[in-house]
Amino acid sequence: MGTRLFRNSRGHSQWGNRIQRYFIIIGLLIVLAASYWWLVNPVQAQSPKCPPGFVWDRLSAIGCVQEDCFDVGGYYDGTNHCICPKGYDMCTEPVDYSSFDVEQCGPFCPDKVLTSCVLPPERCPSEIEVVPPVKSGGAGVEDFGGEESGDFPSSPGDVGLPTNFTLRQIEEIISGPESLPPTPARAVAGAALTTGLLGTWILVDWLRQRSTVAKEITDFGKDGGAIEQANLAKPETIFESGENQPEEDQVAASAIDMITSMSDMGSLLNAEKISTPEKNETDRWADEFMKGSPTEIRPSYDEDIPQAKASTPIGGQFMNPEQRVFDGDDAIIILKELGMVPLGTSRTDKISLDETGLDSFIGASPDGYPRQITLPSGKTIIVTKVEGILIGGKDDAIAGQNPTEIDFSKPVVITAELVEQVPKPPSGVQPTQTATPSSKPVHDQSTETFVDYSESAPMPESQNTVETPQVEESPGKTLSRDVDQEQVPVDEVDQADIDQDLEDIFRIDMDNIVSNKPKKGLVPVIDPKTDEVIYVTENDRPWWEYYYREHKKMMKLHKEYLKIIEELERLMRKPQHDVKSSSLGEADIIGGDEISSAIDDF
Amino acid sequence: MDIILRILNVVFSGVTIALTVLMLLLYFKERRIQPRSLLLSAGLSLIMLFFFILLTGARLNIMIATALFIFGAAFGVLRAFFVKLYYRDKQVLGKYSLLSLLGWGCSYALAILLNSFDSALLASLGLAPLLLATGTQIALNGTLFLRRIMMQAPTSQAV
Repeated sequence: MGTRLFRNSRGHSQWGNRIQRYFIIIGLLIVLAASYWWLVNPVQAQSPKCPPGFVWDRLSAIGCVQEDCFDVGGYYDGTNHCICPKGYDMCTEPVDYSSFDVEQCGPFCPDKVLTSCVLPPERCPSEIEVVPPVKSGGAGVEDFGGEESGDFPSSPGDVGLPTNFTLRQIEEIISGPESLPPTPARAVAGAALTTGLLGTWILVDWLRQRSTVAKEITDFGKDGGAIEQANLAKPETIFESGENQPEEDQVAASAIDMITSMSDMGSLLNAEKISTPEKNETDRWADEFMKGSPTEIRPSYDEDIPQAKASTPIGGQFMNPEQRVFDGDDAIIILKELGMVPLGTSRTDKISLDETGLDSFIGASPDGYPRQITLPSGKTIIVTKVEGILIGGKDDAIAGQNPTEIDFSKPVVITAELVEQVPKPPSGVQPTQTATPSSKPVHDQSTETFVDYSESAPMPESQNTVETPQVEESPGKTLSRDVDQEQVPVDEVDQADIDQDLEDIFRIDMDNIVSNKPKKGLVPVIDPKTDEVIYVTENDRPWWEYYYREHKKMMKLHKEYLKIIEELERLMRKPQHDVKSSSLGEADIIGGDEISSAIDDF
Repeated sequence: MDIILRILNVVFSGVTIALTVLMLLLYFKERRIQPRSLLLSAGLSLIMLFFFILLTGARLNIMIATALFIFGAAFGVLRAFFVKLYYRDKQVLGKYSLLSLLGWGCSYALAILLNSFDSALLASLGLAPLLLATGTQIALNGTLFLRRIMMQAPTSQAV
């Protein structure tokens, strides 16, 4: 379903190509049909008439065939020309067109007529009347070969008539009666059609291939290179939005971007960056929702959760600047973090709920909603709504009569507010949005600065960007770091830490579910650490696929981060007046050591 | 004028050969097998044959033509079963039969060439391989189309 929708979502440009292709083919056919009528049909439509002494014979290659050929001692060759037997001289006269319109026979008009055949040194009848009396065609056949051998001649050149007879027979067998050779015009028309259609076909095919490649490249740029969830065979590449910012005065801003990105690494909140079939489906719902009334998505939590069925499904996109919605696997991940579903829950599962579990799920418990949770990645979100399809119902669960289950094969939608933690910039740099308390409850675990996107900076909708504060110059102002969190030097952020972080996030018990060999009931996935195929349970596969993607993203971002830091350090080593002119500000930049120290704080 | 047209015919024959080579280069690598493309190929082969016969006026005994077409179609069906179709990256890939493509293109070039000799017999003889090759193409693409739409997606697409 998701894949189909994914394809449909790309359908506009493909339809354009298709229509273009069909128009080319149809246009070509019309042109060729028109050329057929203009070039070929007039010739065919003519009813050729031959001059006196000649008759129209479609079987012949010449069209107008001499009528009295045998009477004058000749015979018909392979093209029905009237010629003399071997050894005889042909006596011909020009055809008299004085009383005949040559337009009536056109290209078939004969120019000479055979009057007699004479044996050299005899002369033509017009001069000397010595013509061997050949009475009929049958006699001619016997005279010129048939009588001697009784068989077909061994060489066509030796004797004419038997060869002619054979070719005619073959022609009739193969071509059928009344077949004509193609006229040059018709042959060219056919050839033009063939090459035209063949060329069009190849051209369209080639263009389609090119457009496919171009589209893939374009999509790569648009989607941030994100590939579909199940497509693990092809390593994922991340689109790098910061690559086109080589200017030195933007390096600091890039550094902030990267640092913020690093804080997002492995975050489950980056649902916007994940392109999965389910995600695309969710996007479609979100699009539909955006066209409708917002009130449709506000079910009452005082009543049973199946109310959600009546509401328009939502998910996947920011419904307002401070809110985002998770569904599918992402929602399950959050539910897992909320402790509502066990590890390994997949979208095909149904989770039974007792009364307590149900109350917890639908927010009827004392905690209710909004409920704030901190994910293992350190992110804080405030869950405001959980919607799903409940089998049974709240009353049944309370009464203990029917099993009450959450059906994860149906949309499970979680609406949560994002509490984005943004590290402080280095000296001389401050975010545009300062630590403004959100109108919604925002938890501050430390004294980190929070950015309230609801106030002035809407969350970016692009899928390949990360949420970053705007950076502006603030000369003379220094922001000190007052975070008492554990500080990890940059060079210690190695792969092992990342792996551990991800494993913590996903809580995958590697020892129990991973096998290096195929086993019944296990499915293959790729271990991002080793890039080798391992085998896990079907339920755990989504987690592994998500793990794979996040791991690749994280490693990529980590490399970019190190690159930016290196660039920053290089800038810091420059003479002071250069640094002052940069976006880092001037007043607080005293020396490279201090700056390096500030960088290390990140 | 006739000579010019005949020369033009020979040129078209050469162009057809060149296009065939180009087509072979395009189809040399494995490519995505789409049902729509297969149907289009088969349909275009049929349309080209129809218009070619209609325009040139070349005729072939209907019995011989039918026999050749059926024989070519049988070969095409057989050949189609040896074309390997497989899933990769959520797409069905396969490699077209280059031999049948080559034969098809060459048969067109030959038919065009023989049409320029002003002989009904030669024109008919040119149609013979064309019918054979077109039958092969249509049956090949048709069978591949059936195979393609009956293909089941792999249960696991993780790797």
